[in-house]
Amino acid sequence: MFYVKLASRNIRQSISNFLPFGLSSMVMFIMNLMIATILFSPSLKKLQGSGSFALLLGLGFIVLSIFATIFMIYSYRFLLKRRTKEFGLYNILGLKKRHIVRISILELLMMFVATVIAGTLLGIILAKFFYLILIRLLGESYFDLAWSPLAVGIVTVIFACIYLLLAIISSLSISRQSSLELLKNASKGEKEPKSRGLLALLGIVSLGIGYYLAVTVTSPLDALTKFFIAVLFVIFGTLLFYLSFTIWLLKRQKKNKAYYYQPKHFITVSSMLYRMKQNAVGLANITILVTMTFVTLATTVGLYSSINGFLDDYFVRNTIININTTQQRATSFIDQVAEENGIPLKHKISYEMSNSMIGAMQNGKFENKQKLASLTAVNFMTAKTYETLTGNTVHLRDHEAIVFPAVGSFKESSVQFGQYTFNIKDKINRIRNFPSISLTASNWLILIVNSKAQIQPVLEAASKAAGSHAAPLSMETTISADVTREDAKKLNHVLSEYRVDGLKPIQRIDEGKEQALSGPAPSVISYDEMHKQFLSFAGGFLFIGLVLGFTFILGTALIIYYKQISEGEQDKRSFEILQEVGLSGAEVRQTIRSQVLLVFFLPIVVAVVHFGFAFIMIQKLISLFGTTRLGLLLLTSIGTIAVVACIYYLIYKQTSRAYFQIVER
Amino acid sequence: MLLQVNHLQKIFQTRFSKEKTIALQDVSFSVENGEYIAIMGESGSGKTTLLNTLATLDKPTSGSVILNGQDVTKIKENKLAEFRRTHLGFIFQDFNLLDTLSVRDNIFLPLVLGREKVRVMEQRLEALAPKLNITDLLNKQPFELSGGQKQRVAIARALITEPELVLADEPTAALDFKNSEGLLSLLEEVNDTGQTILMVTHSAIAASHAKRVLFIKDGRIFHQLYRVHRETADFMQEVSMTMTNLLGTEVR
Ligand SMILES: Nc1ncnc2c1ncn2[C@@H]1O[C@H](COP(=O)(O)OP(=O)(O)OP(=O)(O)O)[C@@H](O)[C@H]1O
Ligand SMILES: [Mg+2]
Repeated sequence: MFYVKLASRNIRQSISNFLPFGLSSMVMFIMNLMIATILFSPSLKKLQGSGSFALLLGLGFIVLSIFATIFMIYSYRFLLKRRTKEFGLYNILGLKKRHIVRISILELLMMFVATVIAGTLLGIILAKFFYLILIRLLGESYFDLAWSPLAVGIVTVIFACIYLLLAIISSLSISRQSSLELLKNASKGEKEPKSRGLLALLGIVSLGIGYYLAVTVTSPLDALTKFFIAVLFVIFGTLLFYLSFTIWLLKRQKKNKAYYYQPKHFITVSSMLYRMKQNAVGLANITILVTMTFVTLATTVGLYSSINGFLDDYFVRNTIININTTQQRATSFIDQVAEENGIPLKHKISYEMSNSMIGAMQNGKFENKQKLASLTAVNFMTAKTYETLTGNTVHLRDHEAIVFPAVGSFKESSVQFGQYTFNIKDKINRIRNFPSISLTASNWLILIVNSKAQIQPVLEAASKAAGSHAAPLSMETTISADVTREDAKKLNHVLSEYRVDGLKPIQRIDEGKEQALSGPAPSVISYDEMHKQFLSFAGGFLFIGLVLGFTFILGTALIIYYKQISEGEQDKRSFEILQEVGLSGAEVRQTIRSQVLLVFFLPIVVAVVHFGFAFIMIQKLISLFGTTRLGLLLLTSIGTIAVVACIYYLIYKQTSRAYFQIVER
Repeated sequence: MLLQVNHLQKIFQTRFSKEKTIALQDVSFSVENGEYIAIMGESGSGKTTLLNTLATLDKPTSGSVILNGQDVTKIKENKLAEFRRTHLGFIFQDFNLLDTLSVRDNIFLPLVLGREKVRVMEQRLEALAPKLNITDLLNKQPFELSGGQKQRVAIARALITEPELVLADEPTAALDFKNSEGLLSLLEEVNDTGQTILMVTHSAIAASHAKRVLFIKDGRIFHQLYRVHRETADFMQEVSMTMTNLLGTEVR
């Protein structure tokens, strides 16, 4: 009982030490609970595209849990460090270490209980609020979120594990130190850091690799796989960069006597250099968190705002019908079906292409390989189709082709399919009345050749290479038209009863009869339908992005706060001495400000540079869903950065006030 | 006359209580160029308060402090730091070296703040370092030094601005006996080169190294002793006796 009293008194008395820890614990709990509540809520299943969204939420939940663990450890170590002296005093006054450990565990237990109770209450309220935002983002009007005991249970268990980890950390660190060490002040003299050339080189190389990976992604799928590797390299490189490069830079400034021995630089450079080792880790943490915030928010906001653009690029008309046969047969069939059902097809456009050949395109050579980085879908189109689509006349010889890289790029002067080679006569960057994006993740290449006589042998060879079980490749037709929503539904329903397979007769499914069906049903996709799907996906993405971004910013705020407080305590004495020796109050303020400003700007600048490279990847990633409008993406990115930077600045201002207060009193 | 202290009074009044503490009452004395003065008194007698007032770190309630014809109590707040830097040198009980700076840069600190040329700083240090026996320490960090070494560095920092007056607040308090002795003889040597020193202490040993000792009790100066040409040991006896008899306290 005595220990319980002591522990609860400790928390109440040094509330300023416990508050940041309690706050971070609470915030992490609430964020986790919110996501979990939405994830386990039965109403989620009623949403459009709930499957992919649940997956996203699940991923977000995992990321958040990991982040919470790391962050709580960080917070707690800070708390422990500030309390070592107190523990040391207990030890000298006669409490055994075992008892001190017991006190600290009791303290943790109390914090845990408080977190769970307050966090659950707040979390449930906030979850409703966030769910409302989510619903709006998804473009739905349905609203009903029940609190879920399962969610509370799961999050509580996760946090129990985290607190258990903290208890272990606490008992280890207390029992490892001798009582005198406990009592002594945490800050002992530190030798000025050596600038380690090797580390600097390693850091630059690591950053270079990360950046190189980002710059050289070739396709959306490539970006997806390389993204995480690049992230790891950049995180590692950032840490090494701060550890070595900044020290090197400061040492160089110090060597330049005319620069160094000026009042302003003198104090700033020397104290930054003195603190650089502990600073480096803090700065790297802040930089990485800020970058993460940038990337998460910019990607999700960019994706969300690009939806309309994607769809406009894809839908030449509001409804697109795909039929696996030649244009002639397809149009007459569709016209007939439409007429029978009284569906007007307005502004009709139709064209035929070969079926997609999917493989690896490398150096102008197409191979039947599933290689993720260079995966490309190739469609052939005849010159005649191209002419009817666009009205432009082209003259192609038999071994010539015009290339249209709708997704990805093509730079070679010829393209080779096994024994067949086409010389590239021209490269175009759009075709009128033809989509400029694909709905698949791979690159997309359209080849315009003279006639079907050139296409046929290539398709036959490809079919043979694919093996006998695969359907032989032939021509397919796309018909785009403006159709009302009801008619589109009706058309889809009617067409789903047919099977079309190249030149074989078109079959209609008859319930009563045994039939050997071959070929796929004609597909009908409409703008509205697609828009809904995209919105639910991108909205879910944005939601997760906002939650994670918000948590990251909060994490940043706490880290900066810790940094300012601990530095304020260290600097307090220095500034007193400086004032005694002859630095005026105004000069002290100026020095502090320039020092603080430097530390403020460094992470933001580095984070923006990181983001600049990540942008290339983000752009590619988003083009997974269609071509990105560079301007729009740039705009949303810059907007996001500006907003985050403003929040970051506010955080910095608030926390520097804490710093000033400590230093000036 | 270098320094003239006239009817100095300092009353502390805390914001929350009405209780007043009179730390200094009607303190008057003067210091000639080249003097070495120790101010002695028991704990709480007002030594630090007096020194802080002379150092312009604290404003007196009334009275004036005239240094070289200038009343330092009238200097404007924003000019104070510069005044301290150019006219005064400080030696503190706990050294007050900056951990963030190397020994050399700690010594340079007041000159850097005064925007002195690097060449001048280096010349002065070159002349000063051998006298204080710190030439080998210049490239170290403060935490690598012993207490005595730290205090020698602090003296170097006080002297490098070539101040008119060096103020020292219990400079030996944090040192052991041997280091104290070394430091006190060092201060004597410094004084022999013509440097005026004013030191506050409650140790008779420390005070006996000075040329004149002022005794302070309850914020008043009530006695002074001149060393004239006596040995340190002899003088110390008298100082010690005076303290015991006049203040009614036992001192080492
Ligand atoms: N800031 C202050 N506010 C209120 N009273 C103060 C303040 N500073 C000093 N005093 C009081 O003024 C008196 C003189 O204090 P001072 O610090 O000058 O003593 P001292 O002679 O330096 O003592 P010591 O030898 O212990 O350092 C004491 O009674 C002290 O309590
Ligand atoms: Mg004192």
